[in-house]
Amino acid sequence: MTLLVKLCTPTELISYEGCALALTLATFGHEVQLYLDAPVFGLLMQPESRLAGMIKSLDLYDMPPAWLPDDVFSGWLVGMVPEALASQLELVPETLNEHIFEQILTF
Amino acid sequence: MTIDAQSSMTPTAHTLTPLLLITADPSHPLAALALRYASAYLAANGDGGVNVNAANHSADPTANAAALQIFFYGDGAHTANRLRWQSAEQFDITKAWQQLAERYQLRLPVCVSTALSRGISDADNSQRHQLQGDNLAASFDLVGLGELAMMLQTDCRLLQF
Repeated sequence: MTLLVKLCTPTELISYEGCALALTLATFGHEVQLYLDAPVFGLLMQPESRLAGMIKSLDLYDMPPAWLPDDVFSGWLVGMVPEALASQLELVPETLNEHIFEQILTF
Repeated sequence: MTIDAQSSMTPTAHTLTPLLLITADPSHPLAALALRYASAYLAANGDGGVNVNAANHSADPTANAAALQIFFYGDGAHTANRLRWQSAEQFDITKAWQQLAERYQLRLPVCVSTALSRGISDADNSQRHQLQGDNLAASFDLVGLGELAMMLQTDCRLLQF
């Protein structure tokens, strides 16, 4: 199944659970794309947070870099976080066909 | 981007088995909507209405239990807390799920890690994690997240509530 998992809730637990779901499904062979919305940027800025740790390891799960909103704030974030984390982030494509995803999950 | 569940409120003829991923807190309107969806779907199949899976179509309501899959995750795990008190005039969604499960022999799996994070545990996990007491409501089961991944391996239509 091809899934887009959006993390939009600025709480450590909910963002962790959304990301854990994405990584688990990827482990089972599902194609999962993460989208990190601005409310979780504060957690990404904390290097010890579980979310930051999991995003750093996306390539270990054969997952593509997580998408960020296409705005100035995202560019600022990428410049502020460590390189190991920044390398796992990219801006959401300007033209995106959402129908490529069989489902969109929001946390 | 919107959740696909919004466009699938009414059970209609699908060849895919619905898999309801319930992440909403029981007080959220989506939690009630998930229950209504499941009730309508199972009733329609069991009573000869919408025939979602012809192979499972039967007058026996329990014959359609396998045609609907449920998974409680995140804040949805609160639904499985038997100690969640509320005043008498409020709708008891936990009891409603239990009644639905009993009628249709429906499984109600709950992600164990999200449940434990919210103070919801069964006897086995309480013993394993040195917790005092247990509060998992009857008919609910604590399972690993891998079970959801396995459900998704089947032909299903995933709906998040």
